[in-house]
Amino acid sequence: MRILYSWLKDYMDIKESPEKLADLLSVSSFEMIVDKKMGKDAVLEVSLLPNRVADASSHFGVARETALVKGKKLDIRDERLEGSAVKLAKTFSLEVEAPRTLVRRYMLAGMTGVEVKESPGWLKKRLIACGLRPINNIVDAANYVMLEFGQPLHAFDADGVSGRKIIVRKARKGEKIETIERKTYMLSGSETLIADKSGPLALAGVKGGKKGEISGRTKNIVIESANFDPISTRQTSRLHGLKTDASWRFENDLDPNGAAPALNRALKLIQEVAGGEILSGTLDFYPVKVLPRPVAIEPSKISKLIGHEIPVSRMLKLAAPFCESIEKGGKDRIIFHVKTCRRDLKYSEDIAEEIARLIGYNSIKPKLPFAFLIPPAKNEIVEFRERLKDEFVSLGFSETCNYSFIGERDAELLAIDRSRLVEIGNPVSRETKYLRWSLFPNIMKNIANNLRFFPEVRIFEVGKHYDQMEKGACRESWGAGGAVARKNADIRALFFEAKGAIESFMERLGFERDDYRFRESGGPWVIPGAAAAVFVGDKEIAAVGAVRPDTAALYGIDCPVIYLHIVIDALQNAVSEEHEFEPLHKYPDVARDISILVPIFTKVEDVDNVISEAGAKYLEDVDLFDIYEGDDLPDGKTSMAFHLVFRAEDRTLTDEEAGRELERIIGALKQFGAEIR
Amino acid sequence: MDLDLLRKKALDGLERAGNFAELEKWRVVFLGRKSELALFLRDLSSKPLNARRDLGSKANSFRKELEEVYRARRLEFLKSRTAGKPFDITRPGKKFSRGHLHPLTITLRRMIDIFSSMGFEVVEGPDIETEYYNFDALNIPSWHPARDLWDTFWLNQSARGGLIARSDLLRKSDLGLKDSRLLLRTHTSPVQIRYMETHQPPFRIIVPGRVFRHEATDARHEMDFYQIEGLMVGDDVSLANFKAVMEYFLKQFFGSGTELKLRASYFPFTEPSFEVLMSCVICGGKGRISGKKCRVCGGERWLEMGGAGMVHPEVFRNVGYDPQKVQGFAFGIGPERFAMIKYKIDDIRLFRSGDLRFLNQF
Repeated sequence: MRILYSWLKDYMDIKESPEKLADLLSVSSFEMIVDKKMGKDAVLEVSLLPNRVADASSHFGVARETALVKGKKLDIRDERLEGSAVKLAKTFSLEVEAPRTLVRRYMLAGMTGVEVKESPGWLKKRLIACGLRPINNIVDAANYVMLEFGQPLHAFDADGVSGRKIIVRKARKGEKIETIERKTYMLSGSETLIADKSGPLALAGVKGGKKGEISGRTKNIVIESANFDPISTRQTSRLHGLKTDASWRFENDLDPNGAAPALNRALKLIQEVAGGEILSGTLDFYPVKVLPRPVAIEPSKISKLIGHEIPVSRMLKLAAPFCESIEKGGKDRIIFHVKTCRRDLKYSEDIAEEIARLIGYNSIKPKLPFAFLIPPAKNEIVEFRERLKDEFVSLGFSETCNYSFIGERDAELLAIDRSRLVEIGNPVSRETKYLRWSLFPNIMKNIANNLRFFPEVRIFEVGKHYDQMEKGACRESWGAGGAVARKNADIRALFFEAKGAIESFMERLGFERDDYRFRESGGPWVIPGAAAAVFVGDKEIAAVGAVRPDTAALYGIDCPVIYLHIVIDALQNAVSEEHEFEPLHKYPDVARDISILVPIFTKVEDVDNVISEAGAKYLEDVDLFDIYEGDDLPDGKTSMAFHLVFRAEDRTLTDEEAGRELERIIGALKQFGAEIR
Repeated sequence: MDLDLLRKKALDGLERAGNFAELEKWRVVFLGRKSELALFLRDLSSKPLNARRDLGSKANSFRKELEEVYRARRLEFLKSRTAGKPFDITRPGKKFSRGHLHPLTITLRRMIDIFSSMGFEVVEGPDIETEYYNFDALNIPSWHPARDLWDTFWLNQSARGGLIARSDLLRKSDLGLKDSRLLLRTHTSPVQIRYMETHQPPFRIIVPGRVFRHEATDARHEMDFYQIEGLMVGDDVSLANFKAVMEYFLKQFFGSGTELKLRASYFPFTEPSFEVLMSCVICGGKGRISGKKCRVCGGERWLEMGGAGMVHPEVFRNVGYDPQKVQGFAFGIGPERFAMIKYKIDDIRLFRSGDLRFLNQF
């Protein structure tokens, strides 16, 4: 909302420069900035939040607030002009059919013999400075008073109102109204209308209609100053996408008592700029008069809330400008009768805010709270996620933080069943149509983007993914996704790097090699046979797989990519925090290496099992250290070399003992079909 | 065995050993397990007692002597090794390949650490929320114009066979709210409600998490970003307490010169409400840097860092507290904003770019 600095001076002395005034109100009231300087004058841009629109969306309102901040009181001077001998009620009538909850007040005043023409320069200048386009003197005067007092007004050509009677009623479904902008709206039936017997004249509180509008031929007018229900005004405004200066004010709960002074002001101004005679009296439908609201406070509670002792006398003084009267209601109890223009003040806490901002938030001394000195309980779930991040980083992965959304294109590329995706009803674009069901698609995009600059990319993300469940339920889960991509890499080598990352990971989390198992797995985007799921017991806690080249290509990646993901809650459940120390070995180990030839496609795990189950009781560890499928080997054979470690807990093993153990293993391997090299 | 002859042979041999390998060979020949001396000492047991005593002590002192000269010679070799061509210490070191944490992780951790040090517990809540928790329970009824302050992503549930959230999203307050639609939370404030429904004061919590706003992104606006909510409730937790907690936090995060200022504001779920401002840490709150307007605060000297206020009595009522008996403050701050100021990042979209050229800098 634009406020003209010089206009404020119509109501009070202002010594501050526009900048100083803007600073003052920004701290104490609402955001105000100097938008444009024009010599000594300036246009101020005021951003009102919903609580202050009703009282401050006008020049007078801003002046009243300025006065309040300075500890002064400023009230509207309501001047009713002398009317002519002719009474409005004799020539015009009003009927309010709509429920009184929707029409809280409806006032009409009338004038005859006005001359519609261009507004005088000063008036046009003020309107233009505030961003309004001058139309003619009658419409401009009505707009001017809205900018002055915040009360929207509407002027009708009295001769254009059929039967010289205004009817305020609910719209009928399917009824149409043509607005002053010559746009036609089909009504739903929920709107409140200003109408005459032949049809709609205006959409109440939102927009005027073509019928009954002021034209160059207009001589006699009626001026409406009304108060419409905030909720239904808001509904109408949203329903038809019509956000107007009037609807903005009404939806924020204007004071019905503001209708009369604004109407009087409009009559005076119109007479000044358009001549004519004012009919005496008004038509005023005002079924429930709004009275000052009593708000009871306990001064000690206000001091306690603010944390700063404020004397009662000071509170009274600060509150006086916005109160009609103040009443002592017993010990430590005061009743403020708040003026109806401040409809935002309802609770004792609202009064506390007024007092706190008026003494100045910045004059309140910071005080550290008294609280129990018990350190906060650790959030194990959060800590575990952070630990995972550290482990990824230590393995050379960098962290990304992607959007939680994926697009229609991702769903299409990956052929995802749409019914398992959580769908956004009002996406901002096609790229944000669904919530991600997996971290995979966005990580693929990261990989593609980074491969433009780096030959190798290792990234990970820890984040939530979302599943659409049956019957409208949704599930969110924490996961970690990571990928390794390297140009010109051997996809096999890259796979085992990623697998190694998972193994290091598991080791760091305290898992022993036989605490978890890799099992072959699959999936739509992995190369068949090049994917594994990691199980602890029967729980899948992670997976790793080589991404299909065609899938990678869809994301613009033309080199090997391995994707891995971790099911965070499953992994966390599997991690035992009881990490027990193992005593250092007293006696040295004896190591033997063994190299064997096995048929191609023999699984390392199977050989491992043969070795472990050969009955060598001093065997402590088996490590594959080389695997080779070269041309110099017999056809269809793979060479594997294992490092075997033997140890006894109570003595140093002799060479002979180790030899016997090795023989057992060799025997078992031969039985398995391996050839010892 | 002729000790004198052996000594002469040994000492001559040592003289000739010109490098480590030769020295090692010498050690095997004269001091090794199969050396003449070792064999001699092993044979001693078969000699008569008196001969054993005499020869034994001679042979042992001879062995000590040889060990001594061997050690001295070895040290000489090692000493000579320190001489030679100096390293080019300006050559780059060998890099260890470690990844990088995201700047938001670093920022969030720092923020959480500071609040934890003040006794705030970390609590989380769901991203997919009901309209009730995100708005109604926070004193923002559907008809209220304040709803316009939060542009909301709504879930398309009609096509999914239901309007209601999953069962664990539903708490006692949802009963009877059959049409509580699902949305992406627009702030972390719903966790205030969830926490208070299940806990009794006094407490202090912070709630880090993602929030969503239905708006177009640009250098300063995101649709998917982080927020940290804070909530402290007790018998007498006051506005002055909030100032002290927030001031301490800002000074810890940005440095001891940082100043706090509050400005009047409005949130439906707090009363009084205020905006948290901080003296610009780039220009030191002066608004200008060597005559030019500070780029970060735009010459305003103060930076908006978040919203805050005293918990609204209706919010307390909605969770079953008696607003006559408890009071407290709540605040919301944006980690992206903190990171942008801390690292002088001028485009919020970089955080979600996944660009390693950006990420590798942290």
